[in-house]
Amino acid sequence: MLVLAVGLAAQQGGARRPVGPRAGAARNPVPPRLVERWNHMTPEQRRKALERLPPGRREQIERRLERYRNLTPEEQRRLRNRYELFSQLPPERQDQARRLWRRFTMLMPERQQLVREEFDHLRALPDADRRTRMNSEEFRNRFTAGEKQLLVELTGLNQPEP
Amino acid sequence: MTCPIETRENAELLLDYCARKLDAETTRLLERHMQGCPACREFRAGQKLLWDALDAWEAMPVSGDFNRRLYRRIEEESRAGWRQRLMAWASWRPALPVAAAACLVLAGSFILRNPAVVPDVSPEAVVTEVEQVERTLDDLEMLRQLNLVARVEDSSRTM
Amino acid sequence: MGAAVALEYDAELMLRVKEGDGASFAVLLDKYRGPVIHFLYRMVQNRSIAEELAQEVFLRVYRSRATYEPAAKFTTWLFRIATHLALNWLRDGRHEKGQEQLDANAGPLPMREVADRRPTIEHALLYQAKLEEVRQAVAALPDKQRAAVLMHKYEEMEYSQIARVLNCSESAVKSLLFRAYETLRGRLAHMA
Repeated sequence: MLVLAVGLAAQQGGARRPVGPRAGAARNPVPPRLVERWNHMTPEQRRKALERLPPGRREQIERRLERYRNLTPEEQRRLRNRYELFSQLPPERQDQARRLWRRFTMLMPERQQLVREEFDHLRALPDADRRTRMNSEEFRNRFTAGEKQLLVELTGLNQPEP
Repeated sequence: MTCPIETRENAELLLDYCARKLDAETTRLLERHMQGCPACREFRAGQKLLWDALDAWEAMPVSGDFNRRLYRRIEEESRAGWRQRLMAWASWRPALPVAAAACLVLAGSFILRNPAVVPDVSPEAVVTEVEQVERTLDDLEMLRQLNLVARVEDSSRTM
Repeated sequence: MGAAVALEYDAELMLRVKEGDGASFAVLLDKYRGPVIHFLYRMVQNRSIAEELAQEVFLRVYRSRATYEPAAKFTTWLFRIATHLALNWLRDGRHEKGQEQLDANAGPLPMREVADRRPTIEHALLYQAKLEEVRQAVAALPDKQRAAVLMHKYEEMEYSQIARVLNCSESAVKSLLFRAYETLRGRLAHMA
């Protein structure tokens, strides 16, 4: 799965987090030297590379990698496709998405579930129906102010750019 | 029931009531008291308003690299500790010839600078590479849970 | 029952960290990173300072692993470290009067361009104004009252636990809370 993650990085050719000003390019190439090194490592070398990390961090990475290893081929294919599309977004939109994601992860798990379900529901609605839904009593009572704001911004992010 | 407002010692009853921490029986007693006590009703209304206002204050999100920075500091501390212990040991052994002590220090530095992983990879480069992998994993998790490219995905399918 | 089991579990995890189990430290970090940072953020009202202090909290937890003894609940110990660091930081920064403690980076929430802009912008502005009032009100509380409120309201700690964190009696904690809430109710009553 590390190969998948690195392969994805190689395929999409974009850096994850922008550092410094950008010229508005949609993609930023990952330094090829680093990617090539990972790709040329044997599994044993990669294992040893991770071994040098503090145990907690190593375990965390290995756990996360295993989570994706356990996805079905179809799920992996879909996720690769989404990753490819995501990497084509302007850097500002990518950063905004990551900020919203971090706010989402701060919710309690049961609230994450509710917000995720609502987001799935909202983005499938036509604009007018979405506005009606977000102005409804049920929506207002169901979510905290912060959750409502998060949903506003998530659905806004999901709109096509003007 | 003695009015909790009048007895400050029992005021926590009101706080616990507003926080929904009281058992059913005490809640019932207190609510019956409140029916006839404007001060307690006012307290309840004011505390509820305060609770809602405090609920609205959600903290800023945590930086995505918080864990990485922490682990890096832990790693740096443990490396510094290793070097310090080696230096302290070398300096504590006055009977050792200076040359032998110097060799020990050099050996220790060699071990630190030449990990058994990939001989030409510096520790800093490995950390950077791992950070890139971690960032990719972050993005994958985000896209798995929140498909933020659904519209783009849909439009690309219909093209 | 569930809460008691969870608390014992945290102490058990920390004992495993003591034995060198890094994965257990990762679990504790993932579980309490958010609550600690949020607590510190509401105390110092500066995001980067809060994260720096939180880093120091977990570093101290990690450093202390060899001598850790589950004499109190893990969260009591954790928040005692966090409170101690926050109070020290506030005390040391006291010579810089004024607005410095409030988060300069907070700024307005980003406003999304949706088809009907007015409800979104109004909603965001009202939300911001309300947040600012709440933050100002909490920031104006004396440090220990603030810490007590944050632990009581956001971490839902019992009086006895807050007392152990603040190293005072339970009745002192109740008194702190009563005065703090009274002050906050007065300041935020106009929001009705």
